[in-house]
Amino acid sequence: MNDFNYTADKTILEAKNVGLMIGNNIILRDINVSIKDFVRPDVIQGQIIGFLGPSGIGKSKFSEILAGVITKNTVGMHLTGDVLVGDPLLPVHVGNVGFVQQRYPLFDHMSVYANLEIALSHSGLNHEQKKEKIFEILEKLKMKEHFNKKPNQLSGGQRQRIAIAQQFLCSDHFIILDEPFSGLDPLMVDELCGLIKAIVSKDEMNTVIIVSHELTATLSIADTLWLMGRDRDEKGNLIPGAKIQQVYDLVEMNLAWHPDIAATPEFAKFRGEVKQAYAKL
Amino acid sequence: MSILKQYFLQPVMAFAENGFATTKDVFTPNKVISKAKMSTVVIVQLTILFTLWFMYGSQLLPNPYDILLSMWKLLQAGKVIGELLTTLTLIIQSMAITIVVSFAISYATILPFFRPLGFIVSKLRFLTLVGLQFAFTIWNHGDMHNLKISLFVFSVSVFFIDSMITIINSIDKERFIHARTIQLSEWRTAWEVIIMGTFPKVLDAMRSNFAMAWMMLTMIEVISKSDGGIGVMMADQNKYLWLDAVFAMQLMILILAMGQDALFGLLKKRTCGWAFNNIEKR
Repeated sequence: MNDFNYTADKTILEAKNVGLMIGNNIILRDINVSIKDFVRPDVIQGQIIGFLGPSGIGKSKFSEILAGVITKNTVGMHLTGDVLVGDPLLPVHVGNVGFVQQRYPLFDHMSVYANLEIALSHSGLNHEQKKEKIFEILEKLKMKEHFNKKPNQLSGGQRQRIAIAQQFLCSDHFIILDEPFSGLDPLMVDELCGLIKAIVSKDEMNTVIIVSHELTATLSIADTLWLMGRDRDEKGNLIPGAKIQQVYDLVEMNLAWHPDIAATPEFAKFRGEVKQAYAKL
Repeated sequence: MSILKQYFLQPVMAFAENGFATTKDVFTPNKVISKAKMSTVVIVQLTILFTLWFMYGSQLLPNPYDILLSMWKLLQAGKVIGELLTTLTLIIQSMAITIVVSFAISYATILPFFRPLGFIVSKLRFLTLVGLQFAFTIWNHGDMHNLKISLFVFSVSVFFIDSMITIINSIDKERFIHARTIQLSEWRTAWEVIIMGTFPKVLDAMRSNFAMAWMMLTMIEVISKSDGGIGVMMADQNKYLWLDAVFAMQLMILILAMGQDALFGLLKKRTCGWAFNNIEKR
């Protein structure tokens, strides 16, 4: 039982029978997973999905599929199944789902301001409105004084914040963060967790998918957990093609939305369970 | 006086005071050394070069004094300035056309239809100019000035296009994914990722390839001597083994080409200052 009053009836993202082959290699198969919209009275509650799995298992490829970067027309790849996103659910198109890649690519020839402005090019806002929105987000990110810098003049953490802001400005509520905690010191991890929580508290539909190996940070803010791995045959050999092996509803397990959840014994126990499950993937 | 102090007295003093440390530093891999130490290195190397030149080179090569004297005479006679201007005009015209042709063909490879063209053109760098001279003469209806420009454009473009296509093909996939996920059209993606994103590298390639153009200069200019040019003048002096004049002209070419190189460097600094942000100053 959990301590919260909520409903989760509406599906806002769904992957149905997703499979991927690159050449003759089966990368992903039979992926069926969905994200529900959590609704809480008097609270704007977005969704945070922790997406864990061993290195090289296919998490980034699945993220690219969710982001609409890999499609059925992508040369050299054979994609099956469908990804539907939004309200109402429609086939995903590149740009619907923001995707912050591991190395936080930005346009190096543009200033921080221009990098954010380009993300608003389809917004329909005029110059002044764009300016206002950009400085508002820079203010929240404590990056206002860096607006005129080029990306390679920023630290890793600052660059990451701008990359997240850029994707947030142009996507329809969904953002995938690929390995967002790698290379960050503990304080920066806390700061990033705070930023992710702030993003999902802005709109009911806002959803962040965190692709990571960092168990503690991911579990401490996630409300749902996906574990990706491969099946084994009777002899214990790995079967090609990864799928979502386990979905944990952390809200139902009363392991989400609590402040300082990471300090509780329940959390530590669950973390241990996930770690054990992780080893078998 | 301050230049003398900065580039001569200080390095000499530094060397005298700290000779061992300087020696150790300049042979330490990836060591970033001060300007004073670098000046010391330059002075030492020039001293060795000139000593060897005076001791052993004079039987084979004209000595530096003769070269400078010859240069002075050439400048006084006045003809060399005109020839240099002829050469510069040829080079500037050819470079402008080379840039247009190379950019057009390289960036056209953004479209799959033009990729085979880019591939074929880049492979033409294995051909020899001598073998193409006749075809180019016919193509230019015997106009020798245009023939030289065509040969120059061809010989530099094939290398420049190859460099540019290599730069374009080495762009990280994540750059394209990034542009697409922020909903840029494929044309805008091409502009931001391929053209603007690689511009500093393209300028570097341009700088290297146009430096090569000076090496081809003599060969191309002597195809038709009636137009003149420093290459023709040099070939004539070479025929009579007036090596001091030949070396004097080489020195003039070197100064001009270094000026061109510096201009490209300046252009890169002005237009792509961001590309220097994380470079280790060596």
